[in-house]
Amino acid sequence: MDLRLTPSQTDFRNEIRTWLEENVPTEKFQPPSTEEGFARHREWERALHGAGFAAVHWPVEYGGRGMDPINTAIFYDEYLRANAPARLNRLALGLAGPTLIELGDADQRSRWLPNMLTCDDIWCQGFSEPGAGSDLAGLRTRGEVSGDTVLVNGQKIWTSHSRFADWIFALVRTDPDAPKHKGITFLMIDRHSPGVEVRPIRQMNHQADFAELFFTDVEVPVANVIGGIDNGWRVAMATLTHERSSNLNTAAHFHQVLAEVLALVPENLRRDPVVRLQIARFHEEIEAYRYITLRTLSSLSTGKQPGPQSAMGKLWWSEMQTRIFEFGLSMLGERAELLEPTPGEKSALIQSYWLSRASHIYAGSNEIQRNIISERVLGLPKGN
Amino acid sequence: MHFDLDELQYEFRDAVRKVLSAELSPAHLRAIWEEGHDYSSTIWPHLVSLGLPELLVPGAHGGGDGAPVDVVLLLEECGYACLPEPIVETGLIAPLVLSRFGTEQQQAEWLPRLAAGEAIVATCLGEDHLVADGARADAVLVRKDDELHWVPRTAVHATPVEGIDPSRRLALCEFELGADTLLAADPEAVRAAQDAGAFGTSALLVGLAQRLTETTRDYLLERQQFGRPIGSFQALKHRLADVAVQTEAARSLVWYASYALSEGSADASRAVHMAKAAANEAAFAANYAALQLHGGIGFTWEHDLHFWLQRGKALERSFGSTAHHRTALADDILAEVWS
Repeated sequence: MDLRLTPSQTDFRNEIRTWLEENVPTEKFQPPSTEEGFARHREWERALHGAGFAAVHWPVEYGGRGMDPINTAIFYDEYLRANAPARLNRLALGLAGPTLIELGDADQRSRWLPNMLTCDDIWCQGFSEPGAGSDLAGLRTRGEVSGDTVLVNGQKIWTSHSRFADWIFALVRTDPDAPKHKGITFLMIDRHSPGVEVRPIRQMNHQADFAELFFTDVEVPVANVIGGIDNGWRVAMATLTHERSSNLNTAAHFHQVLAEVLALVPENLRRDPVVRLQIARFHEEIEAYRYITLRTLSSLSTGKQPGPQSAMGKLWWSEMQTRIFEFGLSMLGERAELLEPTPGEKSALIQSYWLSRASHIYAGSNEIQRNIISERVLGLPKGN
Repeated sequence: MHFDLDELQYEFRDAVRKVLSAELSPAHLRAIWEEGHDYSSTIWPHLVSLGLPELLVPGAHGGGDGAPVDVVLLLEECGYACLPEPIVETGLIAPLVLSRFGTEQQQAEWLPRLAAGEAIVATCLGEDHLVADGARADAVLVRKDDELHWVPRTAVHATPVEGIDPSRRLALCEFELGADTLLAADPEAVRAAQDAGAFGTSALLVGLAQRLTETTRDYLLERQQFGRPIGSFQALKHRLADVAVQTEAARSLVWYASYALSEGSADASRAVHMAKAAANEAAFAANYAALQLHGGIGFTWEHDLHFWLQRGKALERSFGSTAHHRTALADDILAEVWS
């Protein structure tokens, strides 16, 4: 056990830190959902790419730095520390790209990977459907293969970034007669094709982070199939293992969240023992998350099978984050229900609270996470 | 940067696991519980031959020259086995405190005995004078305000009392403290002893929580109701999954505390506060779920489960409750935020 950085890790850390200090823009960008905000974010992404930092975890031959999970974590710690802009193409860099690198063919890789790095193509994910959430393999969007074309009809839901996305990596059912895990195909769909329609979902917290996608007779070339027709479930499982290593939900991020909430504690409650016990618990839980994650990263970086804790991170941080927001709301008291509790604030804590509840549902609901832990870690039987 | 124990530490863990599972069966543990204060240890010699008590004694005094990071997995095993010996006191607190703060004479007299496994040590660091193994120990490490005293058996007056876990062999103790027993008049020394005790106990608790989780898992697989194993019911599966998550979280903090103590990091005490609070909570959750999920059988004396339940309940409060450690942690972190 040695938590000091090695000389090469220190060099890498210093390189990133120096570059970020010199290049991170001082003004805050508009959100990417606005035209102006999108342009600024893309400009920033291209600067990152120019410096070789767009996807440090990708292999060098595809434009990455070939960094192991520990170095990738070092990168994101520095990124957060520098208060750099939110990443624009997370689903391409984190999910679609690594899937292509693992299971795409040479033509597919050279066709899509470079534009992911430059953000010429923004990507979104088309997995969930109204009738296929936790039971993802129950998806019904049809893909009829005839000749060189897959004709897609159906509906996807809960896609992030789809309003400005150019490409969708999607699962469609190509063989309705096969058992449900067979007969699924992983397909890259051009979002600008005729027959694709995006409808934003107005959320219960007054915001719109997600959208629905409708497909009506959308023609997709067979050349856009990844990993072979009817082999999509295996490809999707490969994609989902990358989802586990979401680099942005770091301990440093949650310490920032906690610090923002601590600023809301009124003077007269700062000596309150109950308040102080809660804060200590949050601090402890964030640090536990740091070391849970670091155990997993250490195993992955040395080629060891990660221990049981690797299945637990999402369950831990999602519920912890909600408790931190809940605590913040109680500190705001009656003002908590205001959309602008502090004048000039863009997003109310109550909205963050509700958005944090989405993370209990997405990327495998927390009930599914508990099934996975009880079955794969504890060895309890499936079913019910 | 690498956060995992190394191969040798895992091998040592495996050796301890093997010996404890062979030499300390539940039936043997039951016999020890029945003996109560009349205990005569058959386990200790096995720990000595494994090299466990000597591990943290400096090489110059015949020990293994190890650090807390070398014992963390071994203490988890001791908690897993419900070991009825004061291993944290004897194998961790005593060698750390003696070698760092003891007088030359105390070191020369006691460190070789610890290395040889010839002395059992108890501690009295809290406010109550209730000492596990107080009547059996060859020496008791005693805190009096900011002083630490090393009190040999001849200066300890121990009155055995009955606790819910008879294998802790509690005694109410009075001590003859004087210049001859003084080890250090230094709050640093007191803190080092308390940190070592809280860290060591947190490792025991993680192992104990692990054992309760596995025992309960086995029971859920074995017990049939409504024509199937009750472990197939989601309400029960999810409950045990939550325990497993809390245990892994606590283990991560306990490992970090072992590293921070070994490195002498500035945040070592803070790391210990987090480790003990998290281990208390994990052990509490495992304890609570284990008794509930075992149903009626877990409530009997006849079933072995209660050895771990009662030991856990005792350890949750020894070397600091959750509230104690979180209060200290809050004082530490908030001093920077709300100065």
